[in-house]
Amino acid sequence: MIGLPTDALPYVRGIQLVISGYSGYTKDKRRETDLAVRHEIIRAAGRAQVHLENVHDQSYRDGNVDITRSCKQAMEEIDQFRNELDKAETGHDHPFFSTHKSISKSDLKKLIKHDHDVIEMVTKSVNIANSCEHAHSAGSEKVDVIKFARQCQQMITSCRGFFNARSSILKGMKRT
Amino acid sequence: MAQHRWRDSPDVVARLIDKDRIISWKSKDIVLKPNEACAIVQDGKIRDILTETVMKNQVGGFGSWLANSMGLGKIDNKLLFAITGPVTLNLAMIGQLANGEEVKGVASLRIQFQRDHLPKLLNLFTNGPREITRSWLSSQLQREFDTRVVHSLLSTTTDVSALRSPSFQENFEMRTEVEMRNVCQLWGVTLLKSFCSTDPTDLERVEKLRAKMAAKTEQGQVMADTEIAALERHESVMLRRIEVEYSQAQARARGQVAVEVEAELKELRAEEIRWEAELKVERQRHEMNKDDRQHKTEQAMDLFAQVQEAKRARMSQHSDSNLQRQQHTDEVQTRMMELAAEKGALTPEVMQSFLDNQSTQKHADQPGQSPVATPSSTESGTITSQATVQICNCGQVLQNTWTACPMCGKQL
Repeated sequence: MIGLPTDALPYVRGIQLVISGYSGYTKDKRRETDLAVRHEIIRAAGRAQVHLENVHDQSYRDGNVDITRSCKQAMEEIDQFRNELDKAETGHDHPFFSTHKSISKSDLKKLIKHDHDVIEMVTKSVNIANSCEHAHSAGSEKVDVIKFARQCQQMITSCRGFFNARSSILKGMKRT
Repeated sequence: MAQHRWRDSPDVVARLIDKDRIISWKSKDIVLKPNEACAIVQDGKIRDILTETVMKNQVGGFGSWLANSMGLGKIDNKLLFAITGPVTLNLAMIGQLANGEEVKGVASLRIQFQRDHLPKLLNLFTNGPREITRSWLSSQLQREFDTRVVHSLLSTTTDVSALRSPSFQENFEMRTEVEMRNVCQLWGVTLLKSFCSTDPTDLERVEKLRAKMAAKTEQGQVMADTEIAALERHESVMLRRIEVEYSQAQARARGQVAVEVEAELKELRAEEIRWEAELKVERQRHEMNKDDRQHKTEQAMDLFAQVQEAKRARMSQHSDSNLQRQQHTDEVQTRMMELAAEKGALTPEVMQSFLDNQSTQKHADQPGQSPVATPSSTESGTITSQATVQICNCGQVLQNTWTACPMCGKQL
């Protein structure tokens, strides 16, 4: 049985701060762990989306269509990301005749670090979205608000790409 | 294990199931696919939200029924199913533009039930049926959508050209997002995307018809020009042909006229010759007639002369005979007078009778003199008169004694 890599413990601790019960893909809990990570990412993206929705609605009512357009694009990106998270693959249970292999420690460490990085990026996007709303409510320049919205969109796009890389790691892994 | 299917129509997007209402001998599993989610509501509380799993022995079964009948187990067991994939709702879009033009179309709202927002669907089931379909959800959103989005947006749109612009679609999506978020979030619906497609307005149809008519007119004009050009070419060819035919006909007519004139001239010449011949014949006949008449006249004159000669001879002979008879009578009378004188019988009565005999004799010798009123002399005089009034066919008065007409030579 492959145990939890010791050098991945800081990442596990960091993830456990946001996902209670995160065990780092221990045996027989890998699918649940994967689902919990995805749900956490979905929730975080949802938080970023709510911030952007607020800016979107307020800017539209104020007549700042440029800000509204930027927020709308970021929100659409978040929707796509959440859809990908929701419909991600979960893997097979019995890889006896399949190409699935048993997971190694390095793979497990890579996966845990990847989860940590994705959650960190999503959290950053949430912070950027929060900054965007803050800047908009504080009466900052329109350019600054648009800049925050576009930064948030860029971060979400990076998250999408990063999450797809995580899926490629999980693809050859026995999930039970 | 038998499976319970919570969705039997693609129009169904959510359903609330009371577990105790599903009765079967064997219990059934419920399989939740990746685009399906289920919220478990027990005793009025939302226990869990599941997806991508198999819910074993969830509904039906004799044991569950028996336990429920005996009052064992949970009092309230409900399952709330929903589709977590994107769903498109079609809403009618009817309104008027700022210029009063009516706009009809369809607004498409792409929504999604998020797994975490699934319990919010209970707000819908509170005032609605246990089965939520897309059409029912559209009808629930329709009034608010019309009021908040369609009418307000179309009233600020100036005309159809603005309606077709990309900015209108963008504005429509933003307004829908802003105005419909409240109710959508209340019902756990996430609005992903929205757009509208409007039917052609009456003005657009008119413009389309006008453009089509203009195109048709232009096409017709081009075709008419082409036809006119073709007609002109045809006309020029026809005129040329007519000219040529006319020239040919003229030439031919000229030739025919010449031939006709010549033929007529020939006929006239022939006629002239015939007339000359006839004239000649007539002249000859006339000459012949003239000669004949002259001959006849001469013949008649000869005959008349002969008759006159014969008459003269006869009259001479007659006068001679009369003279001789007179002389003989005179001699007889002289002798008788001498005898009477000798005998002394010369009386006035004898003298009178003698003179009467003398005059009668004389009158008998002179035929042109009217007779004395004696029956014999009157009868002879009438015969003479009748003979003198005889008239020939040619108008010539004939003497009774003539044997032929002196004018025409007709034998009497």
